[in-house]
Amino acid sequence: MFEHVIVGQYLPGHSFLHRMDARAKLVTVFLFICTVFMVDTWFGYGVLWSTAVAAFIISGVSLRYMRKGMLPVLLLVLFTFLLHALFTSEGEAWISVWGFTLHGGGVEEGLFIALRLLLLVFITSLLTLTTNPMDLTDALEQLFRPFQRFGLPAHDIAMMMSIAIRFIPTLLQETEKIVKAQMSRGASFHQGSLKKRAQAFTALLVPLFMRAFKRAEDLALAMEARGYNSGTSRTKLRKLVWGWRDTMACMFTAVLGVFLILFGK
Amino acid sequence: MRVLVQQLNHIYMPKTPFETLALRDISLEVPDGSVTAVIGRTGSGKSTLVQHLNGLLKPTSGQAFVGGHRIHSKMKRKEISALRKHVGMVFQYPEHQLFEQTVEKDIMFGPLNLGYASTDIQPMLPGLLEKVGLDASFLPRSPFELSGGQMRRTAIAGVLAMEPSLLILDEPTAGLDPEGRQDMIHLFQDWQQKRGTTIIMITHQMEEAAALADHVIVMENGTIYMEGSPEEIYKREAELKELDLDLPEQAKVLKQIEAQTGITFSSLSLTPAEAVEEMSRYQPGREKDV
Amino acid sequence: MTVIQFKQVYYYYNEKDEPAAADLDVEVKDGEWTAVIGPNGSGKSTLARLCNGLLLPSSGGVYVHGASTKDDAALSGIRRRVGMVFQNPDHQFTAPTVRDDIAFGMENAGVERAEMKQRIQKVAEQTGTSHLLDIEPHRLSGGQKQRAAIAGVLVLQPDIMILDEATSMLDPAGRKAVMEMVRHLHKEEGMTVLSITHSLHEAMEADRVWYMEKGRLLYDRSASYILQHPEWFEKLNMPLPYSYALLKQAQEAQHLDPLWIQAVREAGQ
Repeated sequence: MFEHVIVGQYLPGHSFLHRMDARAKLVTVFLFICTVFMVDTWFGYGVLWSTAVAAFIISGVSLRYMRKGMLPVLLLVLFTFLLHALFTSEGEAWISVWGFTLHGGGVEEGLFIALRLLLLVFITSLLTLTTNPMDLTDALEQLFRPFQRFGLPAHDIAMMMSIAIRFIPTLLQETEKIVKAQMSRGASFHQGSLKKRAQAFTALLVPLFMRAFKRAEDLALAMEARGYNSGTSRTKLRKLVWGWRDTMACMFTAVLGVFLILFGK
Repeated sequence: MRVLVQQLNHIYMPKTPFETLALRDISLEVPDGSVTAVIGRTGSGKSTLVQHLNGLLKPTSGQAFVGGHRIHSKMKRKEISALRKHVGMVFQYPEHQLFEQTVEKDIMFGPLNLGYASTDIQPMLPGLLEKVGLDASFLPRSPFELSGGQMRRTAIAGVLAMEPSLLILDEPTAGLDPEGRQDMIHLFQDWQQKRGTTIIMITHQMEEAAALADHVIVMENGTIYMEGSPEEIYKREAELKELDLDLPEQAKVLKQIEAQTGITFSSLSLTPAEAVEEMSRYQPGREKDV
Repeated sequence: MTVIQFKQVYYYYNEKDEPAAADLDVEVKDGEWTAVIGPNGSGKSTLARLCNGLLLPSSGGVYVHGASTKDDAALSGIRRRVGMVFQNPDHQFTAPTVRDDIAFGMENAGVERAEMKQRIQKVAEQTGTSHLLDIEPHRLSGGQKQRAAIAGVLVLQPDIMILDEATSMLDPAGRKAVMEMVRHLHKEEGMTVLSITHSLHEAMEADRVWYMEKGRLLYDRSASYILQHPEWFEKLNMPLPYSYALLKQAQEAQHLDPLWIQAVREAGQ
């Protein structure tokens, strides 16, 4: 039922991207996203998309996985596109159906926004597909550490993230099981009155929450039994190593950003 | 309800890197009113097979019949809903499906979905609860305050309340202590004898298969590996061992005695008293060796 | 030598309720395997959790190698020495891969990275999980999960392992694999084991059997004693093993050839 969902699924490999330090990847993606938001020309988007596609080719990730990762957001992208295309009345009017008039400017803007959204999903998918989730959370923890003095619980956030990543597949398995059990009891998620469907979803959500609480309780106990104590200093099995690749990638992205913002207009 | 499965194949996650042939060429028949146990290792295809029988999964090819309902690859939603009215399914750890505020409401969820009026169901509830080893005092209680065993009984009552003609049990005793296990088996035995419900039960416990079933199917690797009466299955101990399936204690002991003395018991699931009774009718065959 | 000592321990989850543990005055000896049996809600898990300070006694004291679990300074040491494996194999993994999960306890204890790697290697061999190290927990079978969880406990080099119904959710193959491992740890490596179980077979493999009811430890007998005195099965609320039931029946039957009784006795062994 949920086999096709890939949320933050990591594909091991040995490409340039795989070997980059997770912190560098986070910084690069952050810079890249900033640039995406500040650039608003076709030329700029052309360059950004080419860079993203080049990175994707370097990563060696198969197109199938990328497509699978992007599929769920496609609907959202389409919706955004239509929203802009239909409700922006700039440029010359092209055609008019059912009282909606499609303007050239609207279509352009819609396309623009759609491409931007897709680019964001594309680049973050690339990040999660090429980065071990443990490294990613470690990197986040380290990058956020300076903010700890302002009360940001960097360690706890990282711990929570890694546990969340660990339990997403379990949650999906459990959802599937409960959906099946309730469907066997005649619950209908796809048809019937709104009331009946709402009831079916209650029959799914309540057990899921109950199980989640129970799991959290068990997990907390198991963690405590293995000596977990959020405050104390811990060592780490994984080590993040910053190398020439990382400096290069960060510099490249920064320069690209500055270049596009200055000359991309 | 009679169940007939014909050359059923199921491919799991087709067109992905994880594609696997989960069931291959399964054919079997379960006569109306009989109890069949399906055993086999985890991942041998037991759950996949039974989930076809109420339309939770559709065959990739082949077909199955449950009573007059045909299960095939292009089944429509309407056909599936019609089928589900007759097939009750108790999943592993069924207590995980409880969600209502009271035991009464939770049990009524299924029957109400099937279109029964609550005034029709309510009078049956005390009797039903008694059958699963609880009583009417549980009706207004929250299912989440109950003990693990009571929760499981409530969940099972919620399936039985739909009065299925085919009851599918997926390891109904998993995680229970020996006493709870035995109670649970008695519950289904009793239900089956009074109603004549056809039962298909997945289990890892040979004892349970022997206690309840008149027919046993052993699955391995998506196929039916052995099939027969519990007695016939016990005879193939070596093959069972390879599948990580153990003979019940009593069968092991009785077999041992057979090997030592040359006697052949009428069955390998005799109670101690029955076994002694049979022994008393023969001379121990040890002299034969001399 | 005593590893864990209970002194006059009472534990109340709720002051108004009956105690979940009452009058516990018992000890676990070094290198012994103790099985704890008893009906649901008899206090078995409470007893287990008192052993490593997950619960602290309401009165009395629990001592691990002489240190009280109430002593905050000793607690992290106690948790390292008393390893604990839980019932639901799915609910004890903290990390997205087995390797990272095995490291979790060591990270908490501040073990150096080089040593972590070494110990992971070793414990993976010990538990037969070497080929599973880079796999996500949800892709493992129940038995594999539980072995990985045991690896995550063993890697802290505990003196005693507590198994809280650790096999009750596993299929027969998984159960067998986990039991084999525990047997090996106990016999070959001298590990002290405390296992809470519903299984007669598992309990009979132990050196000692504790029977609990309503929070109290009612009987403390060696497994061999119980096997020699089958009437104890009844006392312990356990079904009489078939071989014993048959032998009893055969002995009571009149006119049965003694050779039959002999055969039954032999079959039971």
